[in-house]
Amino acid sequence: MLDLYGKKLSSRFLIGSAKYPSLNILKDSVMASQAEVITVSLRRLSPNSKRKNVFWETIKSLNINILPNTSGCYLAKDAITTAHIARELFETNWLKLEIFGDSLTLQPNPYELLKAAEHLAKHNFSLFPYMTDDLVVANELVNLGCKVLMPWAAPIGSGKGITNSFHLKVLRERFPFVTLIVDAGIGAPSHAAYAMELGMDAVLLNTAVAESHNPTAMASAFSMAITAGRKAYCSGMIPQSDFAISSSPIVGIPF
Amino acid sequence: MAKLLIKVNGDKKNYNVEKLSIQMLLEKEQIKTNGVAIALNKVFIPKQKHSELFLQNNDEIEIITPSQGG
Repeated sequence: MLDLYGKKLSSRFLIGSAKYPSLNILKDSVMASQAEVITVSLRRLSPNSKRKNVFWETIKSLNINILPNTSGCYLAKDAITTAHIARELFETNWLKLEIFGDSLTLQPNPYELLKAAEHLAKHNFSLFPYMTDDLVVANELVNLGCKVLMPWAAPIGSGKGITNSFHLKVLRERFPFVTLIVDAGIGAPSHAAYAMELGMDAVLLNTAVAESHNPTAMASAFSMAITAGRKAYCSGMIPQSDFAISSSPIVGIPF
Repeated sequence: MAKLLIKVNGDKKNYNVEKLSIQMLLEKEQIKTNGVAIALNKVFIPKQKHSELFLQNNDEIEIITPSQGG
């Protein structure tokens, strides 16, 4: 079971709610993904919108855990305000703490991230910090009380997959009791399976499903890949070798 | 009657009233309080304070709602 701040979940797939061609496709894709956590953001109410928020009604109808993010924030103080708003609106202490430091790569800003994490941890938020794969930043976040870390695989929406598997392996090795969720940059189910084979506890992704030609089928493909990767990690994969090691017995070769 | 200039979600708006609470502003703008949250001058204001907090000239109000996100 995946343990997220005491909540036990069967699925190791966390899914985003953005960029789907329609709300119906969003709904079908989330169902096909079997995800039990969905990320949402906060934005200004549209000036012309006096009606019900149809997007929010759709998300609520899915009846799964909501993980609000602070996407779009570049400063700790803005992320903190967004966090407090999210807690009131979504009635959850969970928060995907996301503070960008670079507008081109959307690389998280470690300084603002740590500042915000320190404040929010003191205010009883259960943090899911979106971070690079930096070991020292991870250590600081863990010391601040984060039980979940979300290292990136590659820049958001890039679909590049895991660009630095060594750093993810180091994180796994150094933080055996922290929940590690690879977030951002996943493009294909094989990337997600690889993340799980490296020992990550879960994968969070959005664009790779929402912008595929068939989001519902792709959500299902990712679900299977994540399950397969986890099963492989738990089964213990063989070590790699530079040379061939015969599968068939050497003894008793007839010719 | 006094005029209050308030920036609502980035738009400047004039209100011809003596006093204007956040609650009153939401009513004037016909915004249902369910499913929205408020920041005043970039500070979160909890729902229970909406009726007791009165706005000053040039205050900035953000009316925020759930949206799609990754």
